[in-house]
Amino acid sequence: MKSLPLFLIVAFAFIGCSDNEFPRIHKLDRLRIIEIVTSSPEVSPGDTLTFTPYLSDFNGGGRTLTAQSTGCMDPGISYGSQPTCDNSSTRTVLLAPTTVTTLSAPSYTGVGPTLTVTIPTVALVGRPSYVQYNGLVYLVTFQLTASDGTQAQAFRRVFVSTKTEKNQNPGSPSIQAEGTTLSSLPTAPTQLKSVVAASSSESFLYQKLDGSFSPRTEEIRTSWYVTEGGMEKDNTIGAQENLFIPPSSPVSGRNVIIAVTADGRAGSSISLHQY
Amino acid sequence: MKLLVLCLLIFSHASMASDLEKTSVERHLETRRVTGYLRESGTSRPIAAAAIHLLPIKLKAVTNSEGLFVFDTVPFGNFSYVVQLPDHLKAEGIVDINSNTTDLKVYLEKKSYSVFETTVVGKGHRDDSRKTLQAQTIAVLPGAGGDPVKAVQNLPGVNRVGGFSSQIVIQGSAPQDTKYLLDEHEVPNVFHFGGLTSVIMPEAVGQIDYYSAGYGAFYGRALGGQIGLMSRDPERDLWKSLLFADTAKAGAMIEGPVTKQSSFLMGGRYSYIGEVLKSVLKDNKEFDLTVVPTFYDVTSTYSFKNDQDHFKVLGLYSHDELGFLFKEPVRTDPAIRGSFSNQTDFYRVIPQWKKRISESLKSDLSFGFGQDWVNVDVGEQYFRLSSYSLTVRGEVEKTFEVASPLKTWKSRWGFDNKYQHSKVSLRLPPFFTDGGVNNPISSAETTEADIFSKYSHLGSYWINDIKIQNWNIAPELRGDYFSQTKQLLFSPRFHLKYFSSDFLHQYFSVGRYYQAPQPQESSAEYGNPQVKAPHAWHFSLGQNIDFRKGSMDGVEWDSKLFLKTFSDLVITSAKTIERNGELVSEKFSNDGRGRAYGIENLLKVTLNPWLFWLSYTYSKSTRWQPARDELPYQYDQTHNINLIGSIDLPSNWKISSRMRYVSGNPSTPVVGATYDSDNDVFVPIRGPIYSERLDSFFQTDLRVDKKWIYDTAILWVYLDIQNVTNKKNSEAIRYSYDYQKKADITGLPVFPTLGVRGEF
Repeated sequence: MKSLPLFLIVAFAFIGCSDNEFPRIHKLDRLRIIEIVTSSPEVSPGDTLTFTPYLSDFNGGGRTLTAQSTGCMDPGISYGSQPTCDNSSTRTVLLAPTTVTTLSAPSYTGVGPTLTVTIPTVALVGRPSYVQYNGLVYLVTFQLTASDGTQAQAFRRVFVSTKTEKNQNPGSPSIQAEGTTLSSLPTAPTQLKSVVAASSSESFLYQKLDGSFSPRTEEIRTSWYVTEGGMEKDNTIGAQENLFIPPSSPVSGRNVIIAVTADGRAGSSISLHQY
Repeated sequence: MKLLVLCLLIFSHASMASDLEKTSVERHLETRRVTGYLRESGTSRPIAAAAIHLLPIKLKAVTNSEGLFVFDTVPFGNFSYVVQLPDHLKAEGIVDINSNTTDLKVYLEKKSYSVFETTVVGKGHRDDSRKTLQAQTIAVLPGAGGDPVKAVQNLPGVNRVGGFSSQIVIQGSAPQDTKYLLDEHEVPNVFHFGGLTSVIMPEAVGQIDYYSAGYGAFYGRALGGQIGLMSRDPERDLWKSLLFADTAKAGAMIEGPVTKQSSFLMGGRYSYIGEVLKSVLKDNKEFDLTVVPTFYDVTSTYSFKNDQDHFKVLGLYSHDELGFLFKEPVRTDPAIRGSFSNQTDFYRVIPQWKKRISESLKSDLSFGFGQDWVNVDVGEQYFRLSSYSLTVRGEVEKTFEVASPLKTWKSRWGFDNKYQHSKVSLRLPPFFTDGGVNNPISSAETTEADIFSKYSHLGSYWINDIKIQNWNIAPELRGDYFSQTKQLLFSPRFHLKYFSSDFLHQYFSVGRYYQAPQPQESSAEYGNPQVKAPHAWHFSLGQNIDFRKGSMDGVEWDSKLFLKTFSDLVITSAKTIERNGELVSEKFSNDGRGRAYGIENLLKVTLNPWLFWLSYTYSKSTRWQPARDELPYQYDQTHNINLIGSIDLPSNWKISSRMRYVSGNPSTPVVGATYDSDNDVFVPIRGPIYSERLDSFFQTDLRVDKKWIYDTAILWVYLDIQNVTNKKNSEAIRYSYDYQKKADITGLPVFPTLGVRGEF
């Protein structure tokens, strides 16, 4: 029946949710692009905006990293296109291969080179009204290559729309440990919580294909990352707690705890703590 | 004087002797009319045309169609009765005939109550694309758990599907290319939740028909084939009931005569496997079962039959429900979080009327009315369907008397229509999968829509069956109109058969087949309203040999070559196109092509009490897409072997086993992944599509049946163990978050089912 594909996907997700033998996404133990934060998750055609990638090469030992970036209109990711701009007629180079100099010892985790893009003015020309209202995706790709050939690649969407009230990034999260703001590396298992301003969860209208509108409210999700120790959960919803297990022998400066809050509409904010 | 005395003595003695003799004769001459019935032990079915003997007086009576017999004049006394029939144990006993003698009740026990019925190839309207499993076969096939649809997996040409799949894949076609029929009317689904068991009570099914390459024009709208469940008529002779329970479900059924010409059946099943799962998972840290997996179904049949008319109404209601709560988002795809619930219901009411107007003229008319409901919620995503469905079939069959050399010419005209009115509300992303590797749900854009749709699928056919000497020629034509795509399409089909003898025939079939696109593919809101109906050509060539030549034991062999070519297959498209002056995502296109070919064999060896059944299929199934070479299809299974063996043992024991070997399904390597920073997931980068294979599948199933036969009841206990060797078969591959590590998802471990049933 029509529910079958969804059922199968959920069933296999259920099977896969106990993959204890696999590495966890929250553990920054290899070359990683943690997040690409945009200045504006929703823009109009012709707008200019910036992107800030957050990177980690925790176990890279300070090897040389080269970054490059492109931008283009969505090639059709939802329908199977690879998330690259390689074959796109709207492809723009945002960053030619450039050595990353912003990551430093001992954690080699932090921000990368900032990118700037101007959205094509014709981005929405010829598109149906519901697409213009809900937004068309503009894609930014970012690629890191280490000196030994190891690669990491990521992409970030922003929505190009005619909406007058645009989506905003959620407020920067405050990481709280047992109710107080995190100020040092916990030495014992500790419940952490990402707290964002209540206004971060915005309400908006989604235009259906028939032209009618459906009210929706954002759900704020936090993704957690650590370089040492571990987290019980990779993601939490709202102000849900997450147990942090500290490393048994922490090395000063190598302990990073990151919370990335995302609103599901290309908006995100990041809080990075290094101890 | 002496003489006088002597005469008196003689007279007196003679008179006394005469009196004595008269009493004895009178006693012997006193007789009684004895009536009785002969029935089969356990089932209480009347046994007709059987001789019952009274010894030593050598009286004989023969039972009528209701199993009744009469001895008109039986003298008083003690006699032995004896009944002896083939396939039955000898019944004998002592009966005392006197003035108080009442009816004689005789029960005859069959030698075996688990007869492994044969597969009938081409019966009724002879169609060599069809293989039929009878109900008795289904009940005892190892690994099928008594389920009629799962039993089909033992037939050649049926691809193995694994995991939670609840579909049948026929000869390398796609799962959606198989249509499911109940009494020849389409039903939306044949399996309950996760393919555990079919939606209809197996005991209400008389037979299941499996139609593959080259099937006739009576059916249509399916590129792959058809699975047809045929209900049986309820018991006409006596009321019977059935109770059963196994480790997953329990049920009951009752049936019997309403009048001399009509009968009724009603049964239902309820599954409690969810309660078992809930207790197993109660301490799970990752999710709660909020609604335990539950299914139930109700089946009812009413039948009226006389010499001219057969009227039947079949009713079926099916319900499935499942719900759970993810305590945290799924690690590999955080979009899957919160609560998940899935509820599926449907019912069908199928009135049918067959009329024999004359020896050479028959007509059929039937309807299938019903509703379907599907509600799926995953966090904030949902899919809700409510639809009404009406299917109508009608047929007139005329047999013409023709001059030699033609023997007969039978012609059938009919229609086969389907009307559906649906309302769908959805908030879902499209699910993209390629090469068997899924993209995360998170990475696709969500579409929200309320869709109202009405469509009519109108079909009509003309079937001819001409017999000329040893030849059987069947030219057929079917026309279909799909309102969905606004296409009127004609499908010529042709069947040729040559009978070398009563035990050997060869057959050839060719035909064209169309199928409407899936509703989501042609939806203006969710798909592409410009997609058209995909189509296929089928060719098959085979021969059937019965080496038994009339005897019970021996070998039967059916072998068939098949070829299917597919065109205009609907595939996903990432292109942006101009439609009605607007730039839109194409989403789906008709750019797919494919073919499947192979040879299938079914060999049956009967050596009473042994029976062996070997089905072997060699096949290749491939697909083309733009900018891609010919690639293996998802269910390209080179070798598919099923070996079943069974033995009937004394005292109604039966042991059977099934061994299955199937080549591993094609798989696609993942060579990298791109991080989707919006959704905290990785999107896989696929290597050469279907350039690798999963390990071959091998499984052994074992089944033991024991029946206790009483005069009016049967108690039946069985143990059905799937995967008795606990082989860890790879069904799919799961990956780490960044696709750098992978592991197999294995299929069912050893899975025993213990069941008990009583028939009264």
